[in-house]
Amino acid sequence: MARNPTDRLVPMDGDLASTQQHIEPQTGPGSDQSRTEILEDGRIVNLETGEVTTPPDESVRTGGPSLSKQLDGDVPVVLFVRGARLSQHFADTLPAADRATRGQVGIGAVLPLLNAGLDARTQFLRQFTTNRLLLADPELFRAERSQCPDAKTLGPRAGRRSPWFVNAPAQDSPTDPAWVTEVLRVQRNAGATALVSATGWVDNAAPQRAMQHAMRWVSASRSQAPDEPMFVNLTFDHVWLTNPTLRNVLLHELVESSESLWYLRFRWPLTAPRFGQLVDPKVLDGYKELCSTAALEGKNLILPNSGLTGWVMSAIGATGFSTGIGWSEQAYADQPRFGSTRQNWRPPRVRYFESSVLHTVEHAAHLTMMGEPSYALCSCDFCRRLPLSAPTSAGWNKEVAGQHYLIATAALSSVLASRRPRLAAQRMVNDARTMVQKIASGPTPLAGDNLPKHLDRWLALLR
Amino acid sequence: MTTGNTAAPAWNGSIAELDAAEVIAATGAASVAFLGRGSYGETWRVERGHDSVSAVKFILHSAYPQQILDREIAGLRRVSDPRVVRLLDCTIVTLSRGDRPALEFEYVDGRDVARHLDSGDWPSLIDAEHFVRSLLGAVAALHATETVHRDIKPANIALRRDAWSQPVLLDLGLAKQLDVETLTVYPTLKGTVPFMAPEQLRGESSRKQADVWAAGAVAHLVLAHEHPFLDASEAQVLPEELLKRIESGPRAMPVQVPAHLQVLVWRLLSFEPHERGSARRALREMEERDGAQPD
Repeated sequence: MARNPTDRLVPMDGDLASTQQHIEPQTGPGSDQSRTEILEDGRIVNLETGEVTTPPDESVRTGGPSLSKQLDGDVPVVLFVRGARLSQHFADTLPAADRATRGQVGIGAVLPLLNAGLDARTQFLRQFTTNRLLLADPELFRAERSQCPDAKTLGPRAGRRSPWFVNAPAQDSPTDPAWVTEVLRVQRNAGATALVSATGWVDNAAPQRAMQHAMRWVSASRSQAPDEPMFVNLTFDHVWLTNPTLRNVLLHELVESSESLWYLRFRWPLTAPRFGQLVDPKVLDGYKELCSTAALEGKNLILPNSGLTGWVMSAIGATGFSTGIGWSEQAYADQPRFGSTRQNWRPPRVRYFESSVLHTVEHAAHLTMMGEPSYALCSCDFCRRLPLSAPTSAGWNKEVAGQHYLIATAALSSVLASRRPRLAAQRMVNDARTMVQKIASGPTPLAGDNLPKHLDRWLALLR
Repeated sequence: MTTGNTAAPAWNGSIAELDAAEVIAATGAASVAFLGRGSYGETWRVERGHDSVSAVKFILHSAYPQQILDREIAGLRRVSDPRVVRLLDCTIVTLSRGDRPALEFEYVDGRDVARHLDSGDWPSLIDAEHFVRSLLGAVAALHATETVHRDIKPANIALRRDAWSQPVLLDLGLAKQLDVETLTVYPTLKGTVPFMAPEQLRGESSRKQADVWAAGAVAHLVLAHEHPFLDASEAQVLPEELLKRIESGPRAMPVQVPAHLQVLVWRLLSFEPHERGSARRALREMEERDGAQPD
């Protein structure tokens, strides 16, 4: 890459005035109302109060892989997605993940831009050191003119906050350089260390044409960022993985294109339980072919919002994946449509991610697992703050449990930083299956949503 | 070398439309020689001095669109690799029929692969392996500049100094638009049928993976001494017939061809474009193997 990886993606103009990055005026209530500009040195000016602040910066990162190594696909990458929950605690979580992975994994962050307030848009990614892979995702796959089932129509106020989203052209329309510029500018302003292309949903009705249109916009994005790291940013329905015709179109493009960075999101079918793993064998097989092809072609493939499925695919050929604390950050999946929320309301569950079975279980099942003699309590920074051995879930802190999940996910990825990642993952999955079997021979086997149903499928994939 | 008015026929019997005196007048050359002719125009060897020899293609079709020519020239100028013929200049020359574009290329001193094979000059297995690796390198270099050849075949690969280890891709990119008569065998087909990928034979657009297929077909020919799907007498095969043969799979290679080369060539001849992999990948694999197992 011609770009120095430690530089932020800021304009290259020489004078200070021209390096100030304009942020659209806010009209909504709350803390996001302030108008700010970012100076070349990273400080933020509040245009209403004149206050100049230095964004919070994590302490100097030690031992993590360089950004260029991450972009070259030389190390596994895990990106933590900022969700509605825990957005305040990322500054603790990323360094803890560095420690847990002994610097063998690229730990980065993703800021979904649509629901982020203006403060978050200018400050969230800037709290991290620039040797991290930091993405500001414009979430264009949900744009109103896309064919995405989850396309979103923003109200006037939200629309003013996210003009790039509201103005997203239909993918088959002529490319619009001004709009592309805007999409890339928003990401640079947010402090991204790599861009994603101004593209989104790729419809499956006319796959060849849809892909050609998408790649036109990728080219338009590339022409405005010729020397910057930029991921081809595409979102598909899972049928692109299961249908051979669609899959071939996708794989052909992956092989054909000279772009080396790919950020491919797939909308899964309904996945039950929430916080469970994808078990559809056809989707998993499609993922496997995609990841193997990417690896053979030397492409850096990140699978956003794919949770532990992304982890197992990283053992097969993907470079990494993104995940988060909420289910919607762990999986982009079809959602059940309930008639009445009151009727279907259930008390929130207390969940805990058990690395030993590679599955999220309820608190009661966690207590059961502790009865197994070979079970080892997690000793991560966050589990020390959880009442893991307490007989009830009183005092349980979901945010801390969520941070444990992120650290555990990163730690699992450090296992893949070996010469034979597939074998390493296979061992992990085998161990998890053995643990499930041991617990099954005890008085209270794991059952229902607590029973991992994906382990055998994963083993088949990894063989 | 021709300096008179009548050019000698090219090696394949094609007759020049221009005469030597006209070419000399147009190029200021000391001597010229006719090299070959396509429906778009013809190519001459032009010698202006002792160390100044080039190959000049005269675009004789007046209807040939300038914008297509410009686009292709831009593609040619992006490539800088000894395995791809170098474009030296593009000028307008004055001929008796009017002003015409002329593309001036480096002159590759050596016969093309088709002439070598026609004269029974087959490479040894070691030379053939070097040839395949360099050919893939040429295709990878071309593709790195987003340029697609679309007509890779033995006649479009010269051997510099007649060395099998030094293939040079000729006629890159231009063939698609320029050589309309000889290349458009079927209404929507562009290329040369025996070396066309299945997607080209179906009339779909030909992209980089079609070049990879063609390189695979040439590699099969050079390694196995036979085309992967056709007999020597079947140069005029119809696209539909070739497609049928392709669906049945390529011929087996002789046992003496090393297994890793057989596997590679069969992969390059995969029906699905993505299964062929990129030329860059194939080249990397060959280089890694060479690194692990020196000759």
